[in-house]
Amino acid sequence: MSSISSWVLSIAGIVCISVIIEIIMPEGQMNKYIRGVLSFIIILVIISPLPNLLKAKDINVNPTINQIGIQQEFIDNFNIAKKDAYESDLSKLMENIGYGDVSFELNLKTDGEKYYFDKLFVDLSKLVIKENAQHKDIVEIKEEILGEVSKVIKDVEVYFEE
Amino acid sequence: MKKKSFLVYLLFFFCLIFSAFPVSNIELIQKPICSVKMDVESDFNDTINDQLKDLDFGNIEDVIKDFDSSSKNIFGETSFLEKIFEIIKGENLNNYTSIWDIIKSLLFDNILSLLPIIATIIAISILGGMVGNLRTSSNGKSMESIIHFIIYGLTVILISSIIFKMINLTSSTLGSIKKQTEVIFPVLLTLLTAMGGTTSVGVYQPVMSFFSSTIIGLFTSFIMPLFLISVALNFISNLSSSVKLDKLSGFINSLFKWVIGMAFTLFTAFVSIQGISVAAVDGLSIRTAKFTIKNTLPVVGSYISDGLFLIIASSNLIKNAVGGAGLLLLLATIISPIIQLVLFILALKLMAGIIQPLGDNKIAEFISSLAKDMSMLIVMLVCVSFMYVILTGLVICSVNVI
Repeated sequence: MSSISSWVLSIAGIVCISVIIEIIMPEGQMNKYIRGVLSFIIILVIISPLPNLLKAKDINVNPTINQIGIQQEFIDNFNIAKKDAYESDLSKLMENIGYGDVSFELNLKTDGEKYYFDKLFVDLSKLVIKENAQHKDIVEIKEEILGEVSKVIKDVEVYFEE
Repeated sequence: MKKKSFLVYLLFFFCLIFSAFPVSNIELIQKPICSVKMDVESDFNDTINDQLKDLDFGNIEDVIKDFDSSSKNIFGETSFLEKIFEIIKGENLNNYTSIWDIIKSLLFDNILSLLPIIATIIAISILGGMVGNLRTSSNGKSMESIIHFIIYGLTVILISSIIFKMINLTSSTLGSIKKQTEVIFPVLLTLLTAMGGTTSVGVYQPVMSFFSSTIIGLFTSFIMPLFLISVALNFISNLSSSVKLDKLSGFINSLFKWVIGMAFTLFTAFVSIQGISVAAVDGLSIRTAKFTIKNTLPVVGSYISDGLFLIIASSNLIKNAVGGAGLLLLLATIISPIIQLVLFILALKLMAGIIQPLGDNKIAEFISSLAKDMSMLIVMLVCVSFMYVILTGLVICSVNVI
Protein backbone atom coordinates (compact mmCIF):
# COMPACT_ATOMS: atom_id res chain seq x y z
CA MET A 1 0.00 0.00 0.00
CA SER A 2 2.78 2.43 0.87
CA SER A 3 4.61 1.54 -2.34
CA ILE A 4 1.49 2.39 -4.35
CA SER A 5 1.11 5.74 -2.59
CA SER A 6 4.79 6.59 -3.14
CA TRP A 7 4.38 5.75 -6.84
CA VAL A 8 1.40 8.04 -7.21
CA LEU A 9 3.15 10.80 -5.24
CA SER A 10 6.23 10.61 -7.47
CA ILE A 11 4.05 10.93 -10.56
CA ALA A 12 2.34 13.96 -9.01
CA GLY A 13 5.68 15.49 -8.11
CA ILE A 14 7.22 15.12 -11.54
CA VAL A 15 4.09 16.51 -13.23
CA CYS A 16 4.09 19.55 -10.91
CA ILE A 17 7.76 20.18 -11.66
CA SER A 18 7.20 19.94 -15.39
CA VAL A 19 4.22 22.33 -15.22
CA ILE A 20 6.26 24.88 -13.27
CA ILE A 21 9.16 24.55 -15.68
CA GLU A 22 6.83 25.11 -18.62
CA ILE A 23 5.43 28.23 -16.97
CA ILE A 24 8.80 29.85 -16.25
CA MET A 25 10.40 28.72 -19.50
CA PRO A 26 10.98 31.60 -21.93
CA GLU A 27 9.87 31.34 -25.55
CA GLY A 28 12.57 29.89 -27.75
CA GLN A 29 13.79 27.03 -29.83
CA MET A 30 14.78 24.87 -26.86
CA ASN A 31 11.12 24.69 -25.85
CA LYS A 32 10.17 21.56 -27.72
CA TYR A 33 13.30 19.71 -26.66
CA ILE A 34 12.69 20.54 -23.01
CA ARG A 35 9.10 19.40 -23.36
CA GLY A 36 10.21 16.14 -24.93
CA VAL A 37 12.71 15.44 -22.13
CA LEU A 38 10.14 16.21 -19.45
CA SER A 39 7.54 13.85 -20.97
CA PHE A 40 10.23 11.15 -21.23
CA ILE A 41 11.00 11.57 -17.52
CA ILE A 42 7.26 11.32 -16.72
CA ILE A 43 6.99 8.06 -18.65
CA LEU A 44 10.00 6.68 -16.79
CA VAL A 45 8.40 7.50 -13.44
CA ILE A 46 5.10 5.89 -14.47
CA ILE A 47 6.65 2.56 -15.45
CA SER A 48 9.23 2.50 -12.66
CA PRO A 49 7.47 -0.10 -10.41
CA LEU A 50 7.13 -2.64 -13.24
CA PRO A 51 10.60 -4.28 -12.93
CA ASN A 52 10.04 -4.80 -9.20
CA LEU A 53 6.67 -6.43 -9.90
CA LEU A 54 8.18 -8.78 -12.47
CA LYS A 55 11.06 -9.79 -10.19
CA ALA A 56 9.00 -10.44 -7.07
CA LYS A 57 7.18 -13.54 -8.28
CA ASP A 58 6.75 -14.94 -4.79
CA ILE A 59 4.07 -12.48 -3.82
CA ASN A 60 1.79 -14.17 -1.33
CA VAL A 61 -1.69 -13.58 -2.71
CA ASN A 62 -3.47 -16.31 -0.78
CA PRO A 63 -6.14 -14.65 1.28
CA THR A 64 -7.01 -16.22 4.60
CA ILE A 65 -10.61 -17.31 4.65
CA ASN A 66 -12.34 -17.20 8.03
CA GLN A 67 -14.62 -20.20 8.24
CA ILE A 68 -18.09 -19.32 9.36
CA GLY A 69 -18.79 -21.41 12.41
CA ILE A 70 -21.97 -23.12 13.52
CA GLN A 71 -23.15 -22.47 17.05
CA GLN A 72 -22.91 -25.86 18.65
CA GLU A 73 -24.84 -24.95 21.83
CA PHE A 74 -28.00 -24.24 19.87
CA ILE A 75 -27.74 -27.51 17.98
CA ASP A 76 -27.21 -29.49 21.19
CA ASN A 77 -30.29 -27.96 22.82
CA PHE A 78 -32.30 -28.36 19.63
CA ASN A 79 -31.56 -32.06 19.43
CA ILE A 80 -32.39 -32.53 23.11
CA ALA A 81 -35.75 -30.83 22.50
CA LYS A 82 -36.26 -33.07 19.46
CA LYS A 83 -35.59 -36.13 21.58
CA ASP A 84 -38.19 -35.00 24.16
CA ALA A 85 -40.70 -34.34 21.40
CA TYR A 86 -40.20 -37.80 19.92
CA GLU A 87 -40.69 -39.40 23.34
CA SER A 88 -43.93 -37.56 24.02
CA ASP A 89 -45.18 -38.18 20.46
CA LEU A 90 -44.57 -41.90 20.83
CA SER A 91 -46.41 -41.99 24.16
CA LYS A 92 -49.40 -40.26 22.58
CA LEU A 93 -49.25 -42.70 19.68
CA MET A 94 -49.46 -45.59 22.12
CA GLU A 95 -52.44 -44.01 23.84
CA ASN A 96 -54.27 -43.73 20.55
CA ILE A 97 -53.63 -47.39 19.82
CA GLY A 98 -55.00 -48.29 23.24
CA TYR A 99 -52.06 -48.66 25.56
CA GLY A 100 -51.85 -45.96 28.22
CA ASP A 101 -48.92 -44.81 30.36
CA VAL A 102 -46.20 -46.27 28.17
CA SER A 103 -43.10 -44.12 28.61
CA PHE A 104 -40.25 -44.01 26.14
CA GLU A 105 -36.65 -42.97 26.54
CA LEU A 106 -34.37 -42.35 23.61
CA ASN A 107 -30.60 -42.44 23.76
CA LEU A 108 -29.13 -39.52 21.82
CA LYS A 109 -25.68 -39.98 20.34
CA THR A 110 -23.45 -37.83 18.23
CA ASP A 111 -20.41 -38.55 16.12
CA GLY A 112 -19.34 -34.93 16.11
CA GLU A 113 -21.41 -33.90 13.12
CA LYS A 114 -24.61 -35.88 13.11
CA TYR A 115 -27.04 -36.62 15.87
CA TYR A 116 -28.85 -39.94 15.90
CA PHE A 117 -30.76 -42.21 18.21
CA ASP A 118 -29.28 -45.61 18.83
CA LYS A 119 -31.36 -47.08 21.66
CA LEU A 120 -34.97 -46.84 22.68
CA PHE A 121 -36.09 -47.97 26.15
CA VAL A 122 -39.78 -48.77 26.44
CA ASP A 123 -41.12 -48.80 30.00
CA LEU A 124 -44.13 -51.12 30.19
CA SER A 125 -44.30 -51.35 33.97
CA LYS A 126 -47.25 -48.98 34.25
CA LEU A 127 -48.99 -50.30 31.14
CA VAL A 128 -52.75 -49.83 31.19
CA ILE A 129 -54.73 -51.50 28.47
CA LYS A 130 -57.68 -49.35 27.54
CA GLU A 131 -61.09 -50.65 26.81
CA ASN A 132 -61.09 -50.21 23.07
CA ALA A 133 -58.03 -52.44 22.60
CA GLN A 134 -58.35 -56.18 22.35
CA HIS A 135 -56.97 -58.14 25.20
CA LYS A 136 -53.62 -59.51 24.13
CA ASP A 137 -50.75 -61.11 25.91
CA ILE A 138 -47.53 -59.29 26.53
CA VAL A 139 -45.62 -60.74 23.55
CA GLU A 140 -48.25 -59.59 21.05
CA ILE A 141 -48.33 -56.17 22.70
CA LYS A 142 -44.56 -55.86 22.35
CA GLU A 143 -44.71 -56.86 18.68
CA GLU A 144 -47.41 -54.31 18.00
CA ILE A 145 -45.44 -51.55 19.76
CA LEU A 146 -42.32 -52.54 17.80
CA GLY A 147 -44.25 -52.31 14.53
CA GLU A 148 -45.65 -48.87 15.28
CA VAL A 149 -42.31 -47.50 16.53
CA SER A 150 -40.46 -48.67 13.46
CA LYS A 151 -42.78 -46.60 11.28
CA VAL A 152 -41.69 -43.46 13.12
CA ILE A 153 -38.04 -44.01 14.00
CA LYS A 154 -35.77 -46.29 12.05
CA ASP A 155 -32.48 -47.96 13.01
CA VAL A 156 -32.95 -48.07 16.77
CA GLU A 157 -32.48 -50.98 19.14
CA VAL A 158 -35.60 -51.37 21.25
CA TYR A 159 -35.35 -52.61 24.84
CA PHE A 160 -38.47 -53.40 26.84
CA GLU A 161 -38.60 -52.89 30.58
CA GLU A 162 -41.36 -54.41 32.64
CA MET B 1 -106.95 -46.99 27.88
CA LYS B 2 -104.21 -48.53 29.97
CA LYS B 3 -102.37 -49.74 26.83
CA LYS B 4 -102.55 -46.27 25.27
CA SER B 5 -101.16 -44.47 28.31
CA PHE B 6 -98.41 -47.10 28.63
CA LEU B 7 -97.43 -46.50 25.01
CA VAL B 8 -97.41 -42.75 25.56
CA TYR B 9 -95.19 -43.11 28.58
CA LEU B 10 -92.84 -45.39 26.59
CA LEU B 11 -92.67 -42.89 23.74
CA PHE B 12 -91.98 -40.06 26.14
CA PHE B 13 -89.25 -42.06 27.82
CA PHE B 14 -87.57 -42.84 24.51
CA CYS B 15 -87.73 -39.20 23.41
CA LEU B 16 -86.07 -38.14 26.63
CA ILE B 17 -83.21 -40.58 26.16
CA PHE B 18 -82.61 -39.67 22.50
CA SER B 19 -82.72 -35.93 23.16
CA ALA B 20 -80.18 -36.15 25.95
CA PHE B 21 -77.41 -37.90 23.96
CA PRO B 22 -76.64 -35.50 21.05
CA VAL B 23 -76.18 -32.48 23.29
CA SER B 24 -73.59 -34.09 25.53
CA ASN B 25 -71.74 -35.56 22.54
CA ILE B 26 -71.39 -32.17 20.82
CA GLU B 27 -70.03 -30.59 23.94
CA LEU B 28 -67.49 -33.37 24.32
CA ILE B 29 -66.23 -32.97 20.76
CA GLN B 30 -66.01 -29.18 20.59
CA LYS B 31 -64.19 -28.38 23.81
CA PRO B 32 -60.92 -30.27 23.30
CA ILE B 33 -60.18 -28.84 19.81
CA CYS B 34 -60.56 -25.20 20.93
CA SER B 35 -58.39 -25.60 23.99
CA VAL B 36 -55.81 -27.62 22.06
CA LYS B 37 -55.50 -24.87 19.43
CA MET B 38 -54.76 -22.25 22.06
CA ASP B 39 -52.27 -24.59 23.70
CA VAL B 40 -50.48 -25.00 20.36
CA GLU B 41 -50.11 -21.25 19.90
CA SER B 42 -48.65 -20.74 23.35
CA ASP B 43 -46.41 -23.79 22.81
CA PHE B 44 -45.20 -22.19 19.60
CA ASN B 45 -44.34 -18.95 21.38
CA ASP B 46 -42.53 -20.81 24.16
CA THR B 47 -40.53 -22.88 21.69
CA ILE B 48 -39.56 -19.79 19.71
CA ASN B 49 -38.47 -17.98 22.87
CA ASP B 50 -36.37 -20.92 24.06
CA GLN B 51 -34.65 -21.29 20.72
CA LEU B 52 -33.93 -17.57 20.42
CA LYS B 53 -32.28 -17.62 23.84
CA ASP B 54 -29.82 -20.26 22.67
CA LEU B 55 -28.71 -18.29 19.61
CA ASP B 56 -25.72 -16.01 19.93
CA PHE B 57 -26.19 -12.70 18.13
CA GLY B 58 -22.77 -11.35 18.97
CA ASN B 59 -22.22 -7.65 18.62
CA ILE B 60 -24.99 -6.82 16.18
CA GLU B 61 -26.23 -4.24 18.68
CA ASP B 62 -22.95 -2.33 18.31
CA VAL B 63 -23.59 -2.09 14.57
CA ILE B 64 -27.00 -0.58 15.27
CA LYS B 65 -25.53 1.81 17.84
CA ASP B 66 -23.03 3.10 15.27
CA PHE B 67 -25.81 4.10 12.91
CA ASP B 68 -26.59 7.73 12.36
CA SER B 69 -30.10 8.93 13.17
CA SER B 70 -31.64 8.42 9.72
CA SER B 71 -30.46 4.81 9.50
CA LYS B 72 -31.76 4.13 13.01
CA ASN B 73 -35.15 5.50 11.95
CA ILE B 74 -35.25 3.26 8.92
CA PHE B 75 -34.48 0.14 10.96
CA GLY B 76 -36.88 1.20 13.69
CA GLU B 77 -36.12 2.17 17.26
CA THR B 78 -35.82 -1.46 18.29
CA SER B 79 -33.05 -3.88 19.02
CA PHE B 80 -32.32 -6.72 16.61
CA LEU B 81 -34.10 -9.35 18.75
CA GLU B 82 -37.24 -7.24 19.01
CA LYS B 83 -37.19 -6.81 15.25
CA ILE B 84 -37.10 -10.59 14.84
CA PHE B 85 -40.14 -10.94 17.11
CA GLU B 86 -41.97 -8.27 15.12
CA ILE B 87 -41.33 -10.08 11.87
CA ILE B 88 -42.42 -13.45 13.29
CA LYS B 89 -45.70 -11.95 14.50
CA GLY B 90 -46.16 -10.09 11.22
CA GLU B 91 -46.27 -6.58 12.71
CA ASN B 92 -43.66 -5.18 10.37
CA LEU B 93 -45.74 -4.15 7.41
CA ASN B 94 -46.57 -0.51 8.11
CA ASN B 95 -43.15 1.05 7.61
CA TYR B 96 -43.20 2.24 4.01
CA THR B 97 -44.49 5.80 4.42
CA SER B 98 -42.01 6.48 7.20
CA ILE B 99 -39.12 5.24 5.02
CA TRP B 100 -40.17 7.64 2.29
CA ASP B 101 -40.24 10.53 4.77
CA ILE B 102 -36.78 9.64 6.02
CA ILE B 103 -35.39 9.55 2.47
CA LYS B 104 -36.90 12.96 1.76
CA SER B 105 -35.33 14.45 4.87
CA LEU B 106 -31.96 12.85 4.00
CA LEU B 107 -32.10 14.41 0.53
CA PHE B 108 -32.84 17.89 1.80
CA ASP B 109 -30.22 17.79 4.54
CA ASN B 110 -27.46 16.72 2.18
CA ILE B 111 -28.40 19.19 -0.53
CA LEU B 112 -28.25 21.99 2.03
CA SER B 113 -24.85 20.87 3.27
CA LEU B 114 -23.40 20.70 -0.26
CA LEU B 115 -24.66 24.14 -1.36
CA PRO B 116 -21.88 26.26 0.25
CA ILE B 117 -19.11 24.24 -1.46
CA ILE B 118 -20.87 24.38 -4.80
CA ALA B 119 -21.32 28.14 -4.57
CA THR B 120 -17.70 28.72 -3.50
CA ILE B 121 -16.18 26.68 -6.32
CA ILE B 122 -18.43 28.25 -8.95
CA ALA B 123 -17.54 31.72 -7.69
CA ILE B 124 -13.80 31.01 -7.73
CA SER B 125 -13.89 29.55 -11.23
CA ILE B 126 -15.91 32.42 -12.66
CA LEU B 127 -13.53 34.92 -11.03
CA GLY B 128 -10.56 33.07 -12.51
CA GLY B 129 -12.18 33.05 -15.90
CA MET B 130 -12.81 36.78 -15.81
CA VAL B 131 -9.28 37.57 -14.61
CA GLY B 132 -7.89 35.32 -17.34
CA ASN B 133 -9.68 37.39 -19.93
CA LEU B 134 -7.70 40.42 -18.82
CA ARG B 135 -4.44 39.03 -20.22
CA THR B 136 -2.28 41.19 -22.45
CA SER B 137 -0.70 39.90 -25.62
CA SER B 138 2.91 39.96 -24.36
CA ASN B 139 2.72 37.64 -21.39
CA GLY B 140 -0.65 36.03 -22.24
CA LYS B 141 0.18 32.39 -22.17
CA SER B 142 2.14 32.22 -18.94
CA MET B 143 -0.37 34.50 -17.19
CA GLU B 144 -3.12 32.13 -18.23
CA SER B 145 -1.19 29.14 -16.92
CA ILE B 146 -0.47 30.77 -13.60
CA ILE B 147 -4.09 31.77 -13.09
CA HIS B 148 -5.24 28.31 -14.09
CA PHE B 149 -2.73 26.80 -11.66
CA ILE B 150 -3.98 28.90 -8.75
CA ILE B 151 -7.69 28.37 -9.45
CA TYR B 152 -7.08 24.68 -9.92
CA GLY B 153 -5.22 24.44 -6.62
CA LEU B 154 -8.02 26.16 -4.73
CA THR B 155 -10.68 23.94 -6.33
CA VAL B 156 -8.71 20.82 -5.51
CA ILE B 157 -8.37 21.83 -1.87
CA LEU B 158 -12.08 22.52 -1.53
CA ILE B 159 -13.24 19.35 -3.25
CA SER B 160 -10.70 17.10 -1.51
CA SER B 161 -12.36 17.55 1.87
CA ILE B 162 -15.66 16.21 0.55
CA ILE B 163 -13.95 13.41 -1.37
CA PHE B 164 -12.17 12.23 1.77
CA LYS B 165 -15.47 12.27 3.61
CA MET B 166 -17.08 10.14 0.90
CA ILE B 167 -14.18 7.68 0.89
CA ASN B 168 -14.37 7.28 4.67
CA LEU B 169 -18.13 6.81 4.40
CA THR B 170 -17.74 4.02 1.86
CA SER B 171 -14.99 2.29 3.85
CA SER B 172 -17.00 2.37 7.05
CA THR B 173 -20.11 1.09 5.24
CA LEU B 174 -18.16 -1.86 3.83
CA GLY B 175 -16.77 -2.55 7.30
CA SER B 176 -20.27 -2.44 8.77
CA ILE B 177 -21.55 -4.89 6.13
CA LYS B 178 -18.69 -7.24 6.98
CA LYS B 179 -19.58 -7.10 10.69
CA GLN B 180 -23.20 -7.87 9.85
CA THR B 181 -22.23 -10.90 7.79
CA GLU B 182 -20.08 -12.18 10.65
CA VAL B 183 -23.09 -12.19 12.97
CA ILE B 184 -25.99 -13.16 10.72
CA PHE B 185 -24.41 -15.89 8.59
CA PRO B 186 -23.43 -18.15 11.53
CA VAL B 187 -26.96 -17.88 12.94
CA LEU B 188 -28.52 -18.79 9.59
CA LEU B 189 -26.15 -21.72 9.11
CA THR B 190 -26.84 -22.98 12.65
CA LEU B 191 -30.60 -22.91 12.05
CA LEU B 192 -30.21 -24.68 8.71
CA THR B 193 -28.09 -27.40 10.34
CA ALA B 194 -30.55 -27.84 13.19
CA MET B 195 -33.45 -28.22 10.79
CA GLY B 196 -31.56 -30.96 8.99
CA GLY B 197 -30.66 -29.13 5.80
CA THR B 198 -27.24 -30.69 5.50
CA THR B 199 -26.99 -30.40 1.71
CA SER B 200 -27.77 -26.70 1.88
CA VAL B 201 -25.24 -26.13 4.65
CA GLY B 202 -22.62 -27.93 2.57
CA VAL B 203 -23.24 -25.46 -0.24
CA TYR B 204 -23.77 -22.28 1.74
CA GLN B 205 -21.00 -22.52 4.33
CA PRO B 206 -18.04 -22.21 1.92
CA VAL B 207 -19.86 -19.60 -0.14
CA MET B 208 -20.61 -17.49 2.91
CA SER B 209 -17.04 -17.75 4.19
CA PHE B 210 -15.78 -16.81 0.73
CA PHE B 211 -18.09 -13.81 0.57
CA SER B 212 -17.38 -12.60 4.07
CA SER B 213 -13.60 -12.72 3.90
CA THR B 214 -12.41 -12.87 0.29
CA ILE B 215 -14.91 -10.75 -1.59
CA ILE B 216 -15.19 -7.99 0.98
CA GLY B 217 -11.41 -8.16 1.42
CA LEU B 218 -11.01 -7.78 -2.36
CA PHE B 219 -13.20 -4.71 -2.29
CA THR B 220 -11.44 -3.02 0.61
CA SER B 221 -7.83 -3.83 -0.19
CA PHE B 222 -7.71 -3.97 -4.00
CA ILE B 223 -10.62 -2.07 -5.49
CA MET B 224 -10.61 0.86 -3.08
CA PRO B 225 -6.90 1.57 -3.77
CA LEU B 226 -7.68 1.36 -7.51
CA PHE B 227 -10.27 4.05 -7.00
CA LEU B 228 -7.81 6.19 -5.04
CA ILE B 229 -5.17 5.86 -7.77
CA SER B 230 -7.76 6.82 -10.37
CA VAL B 231 -8.74 9.96 -8.45
CA ALA B 232 -5.10 10.93 -7.89
CA LEU B 233 -4.29 10.47 -11.59
CA ASN B 234 -7.31 12.56 -12.43
CA PHE B 235 -6.02 15.38 -10.24
CA ILE B 236 -2.58 15.19 -11.83
CA SER B 237 -3.62 14.95 -15.46
CA ASN B 238 -5.79 18.06 -15.33
CA LEU B 239 -3.01 20.18 -13.87
CA SER B 240 -1.82 21.40 -17.23
CA SER B 241 -2.90 21.00 -20.80
CA SER B 242 0.46 19.76 -21.99
CA VAL B 243 0.86 16.83 -19.62
CA LYS B 244 -2.12 14.54 -19.96
CA LEU B 245 -2.53 11.22 -18.19
CA ASP B 246 -6.06 10.43 -19.42
CA LYS B 247 -5.22 7.08 -20.93
CA LEU B 248 -3.49 5.88 -17.78
CA SER B 249 -6.56 6.89 -15.82
CA GLY B 250 -8.65 5.01 -18.39
CA PHE B 251 -6.52 1.90 -17.85
CA ILE B 252 -7.16 1.99 -14.11
CA ASN B 253 -10.88 2.54 -14.77
CA SER B 254 -11.22 -0.47 -17.04
CA LEU B 255 -9.20 -2.62 -14.62
CA PHE B 256 -11.70 -1.61 -11.96
CA LYS B 257 -14.69 -2.42 -14.15
CA TRP B 258 -13.36 -5.80 -15.25
CA VAL B 259 -12.40 -6.98 -11.77
CA ILE B 260 -15.73 -5.98 -10.26
CA GLY B 261 -17.69 -7.33 -13.22
CA MET B 262 -16.01 -10.73 -13.17
CA ALA B 263 -16.16 -11.12 -9.38
CA PHE B 264 -19.82 -10.14 -9.30
CA THR B 265 -20.92 -12.26 -12.26
CA LEU B 266 -19.06 -15.39 -11.23
CA PHE B 267 -20.15 -15.18 -7.59
CA THR B 268 -23.80 -14.49 -8.39
CA ALA B 269 -24.04 -17.19 -11.06
CA PHE B 270 -22.38 -19.81 -8.87
CA VAL B 271 -24.47 -19.02 -5.79
CA SER B 272 -27.75 -18.83 -7.70
CA ILE B 273 -27.32 -22.08 -9.58
CA GLN B 274 -26.13 -24.07 -6.59
CA GLY B 275 -28.55 -22.46 -4.19
CA ILE B 276 -31.62 -22.91 -6.34
CA SER B 277 -30.89 -26.55 -7.10
CA VAL B 278 -30.22 -27.36 -3.45
CA ALA B 279 -33.00 -25.24 -1.98
CA ALA B 280 -35.79 -27.65 -2.75
CA VAL B 281 -33.98 -30.88 -1.88
CA ASP B 282 -33.69 -30.48 1.87
CA GLY B 283 -37.17 -29.04 2.26
CA LEU B 284 -38.54 -32.09 0.42
CA SER B 285 -36.71 -34.59 2.62
CA ILE B 286 -37.92 -32.92 5.81
CA ARG B 287 -41.49 -32.78 4.53
CA THR B 288 -41.30 -36.48 3.65
CA ALA B 289 -40.23 -37.35 7.18
CA LYS B 290 -43.07 -35.26 8.61
CA PHE B 291 -45.58 -36.95 6.27
CA THR B 292 -44.44 -40.37 7.47
CA ILE B 293 -44.90 -39.48 11.12
CA LYS B 294 -48.29 -37.89 10.52
CA ASN B 295 -49.65 -40.84 8.59
CA THR B 296 -48.96 -43.29 11.38
CA LEU B 297 -51.06 -41.31 13.85
CA PRO B 298 -54.73 -42.12 13.39
CA VAL B 299 -56.17 -38.89 14.77
CA VAL B 300 -58.80 -36.54 13.53
CA GLY B 301 -57.29 -33.07 13.29
CA SER B 302 -53.57 -32.72 13.31
CA TYR B 303 -53.00 -30.72 16.48
CA ILE B 304 -52.20 -33.66 18.65
CA SER B 305 -48.79 -35.38 18.35
CA ASP B 306 -47.11 -32.56 16.46
CA GLY B 307 -44.44 -31.86 19.06
CA LEU B 308 -41.59 -32.62 16.69
CA PHE B 309 -43.09 -30.56 13.89
CA LEU B 310 -43.51 -27.64 16.33
CA ILE B 311 -39.79 -27.56 17.02
CA ILE B 312 -38.77 -27.68 13.38
CA ALA B 313 -41.42 -25.12 12.40
CA SER B 314 -40.28 -22.62 15.02
CA SER B 315 -36.68 -22.99 13.81
CA ASN B 316 -37.98 -22.34 10.30
CA LEU B 317 -39.80 -19.19 11.41
CA ILE B 318 -36.74 -17.92 13.25
CA LYS B 319 -34.53 -18.56 10.22
CA ASN B 320 -36.81 -16.59 7.93
CA ALA B 321 -37.20 -13.79 10.48
CA VAL B 322 -33.44 -13.50 11.03
CA GLY B 323 -32.91 -13.33 7.27
CA GLY B 324 -35.58 -10.66 6.94
CA ALA B 325 -34.20 -8.59 9.82
CA GLY B 326 -30.71 -8.87 8.32
CA LEU B 327 -31.94 -7.54 4.99
CA LEU B 328 -33.70 -4.66 6.74
CA LEU B 329 -30.46 -3.86 8.59
CA LEU B 330 -28.58 -3.84 5.29
CA LEU B 331 -31.12 -1.46 3.79
CA ALA B 332 -30.73 0.88 6.75
CA THR B 333 -26.93 0.69 6.37
CA ILE B 334 -26.64 1.59 2.71
CA ILE B 335 -29.48 4.06 2.04
CA SER B 336 -27.74 7.03 3.63
CA PRO B 337 -24.30 6.62 1.97
CA ILE B 338 -25.82 5.99 -1.45
CA ILE B 339 -28.00 9.10 -1.25
CA GLN B 340 -25.02 11.21 -0.16
CA LEU B 341 -22.84 9.86 -3.00
CA VAL B 342 -25.54 10.38 -5.61
CA LEU B 343 -26.14 13.94 -4.49
CA PHE B 344 -22.40 14.67 -4.57
CA ILE B 345 -22.06 13.33 -8.11
CA LEU B 346 -25.06 15.36 -9.29
CA ALA B 347 -23.62 18.46 -7.60
CA LEU B 348 -20.29 17.94 -9.39
CA LYS B 349 -22.01 17.61 -12.75
CA LEU B 350 -24.06 20.73 -12.06
CA MET B 351 -20.91 22.65 -11.18
CA ALA B 352 -19.22 21.52 -14.38
CA GLY B 353 -22.27 22.56 -16.35
CA ILE B 354 -22.32 26.03 -14.83
CA ILE B 355 -18.56 26.64 -14.99
CA GLN B 356 -18.10 25.59 -18.62
CA PRO B 357 -19.68 28.59 -20.35
CA LEU B 358 -18.67 31.17 -17.77
CA GLY B 359 -15.25 30.18 -16.49
CA ASP B 360 -12.28 28.02 -17.35
CA ASN B 361 -13.04 25.08 -19.63
CA LYS B 362 -10.29 22.96 -18.11
CA ILE B 363 -11.73 23.24 -14.61
CA ALA B 364 -15.10 22.12 -15.96
CA GLU B 365 -13.49 19.09 -17.61
CA PHE B 366 -11.67 18.25 -14.38
CA ILE B 367 -14.86 18.38 -12.32
CA SER B 368 -16.89 16.28 -14.77
CA SER B 369 -14.22 13.56 -14.96
CA LEU B 370 -14.12 13.58 -11.16
CA ALA B 371 -17.89 12.93 -11.16
CA LYS B 372 -17.32 9.90 -13.40
CA ASP B 373 -14.79 8.56 -10.91
CA MET B 374 -17.02 9.00 -7.88
CA SER B 375 -19.62 6.70 -9.41
CA MET B 376 -17.12 3.89 -8.76
CA LEU B 377 -17.89 4.17 -5.06
CA ILE B 378 -21.60 3.67 -5.67
CA VAL B 379 -20.84 0.66 -7.86
CA MET B 380 -18.79 -0.86 -5.05
CA LEU B 381 -21.52 -0.45 -2.45
CA VAL B 382 -24.30 -1.66 -4.72
CA CYS B 383 -22.33 -4.76 -5.82
CA VAL B 384 -21.54 -5.87 -2.28
CA SER B 385 -25.11 -5.28 -1.09
CA PHE B 386 -26.57 -7.14 -4.05
CA MET B 387 -24.41 -10.19 -3.44
CA TYR B 388 -25.38 -10.15 0.23
CA VAL B 389 -29.09 -9.85 -0.65
CA ILE B 390 -28.92 -12.78 -3.07
CA LEU B 391 -27.16 -15.00 -0.54
CA THR B 392 -29.57 -14.16 2.30
CA GLY B 393 -32.61 -14.47 0.02
CA LEU B 394 -31.54 -17.95 -1.09
CA VAL B 395 -31.11 -19.06 2.52
CA ILE B 396 -34.57 -17.72 3.40
CA CYS B 397 -36.15 -19.60 0.49
CA SER B 398 -34.40 -22.90 1.11
CA VAL B 399 -35.26 -25.71 3.54
CA ASN B 400 -38.77 -24.46 4.18
CA VAL B 401 -41.06 -26.88 5.96
CA ILE B 402 -44.06 -24.61 6.50
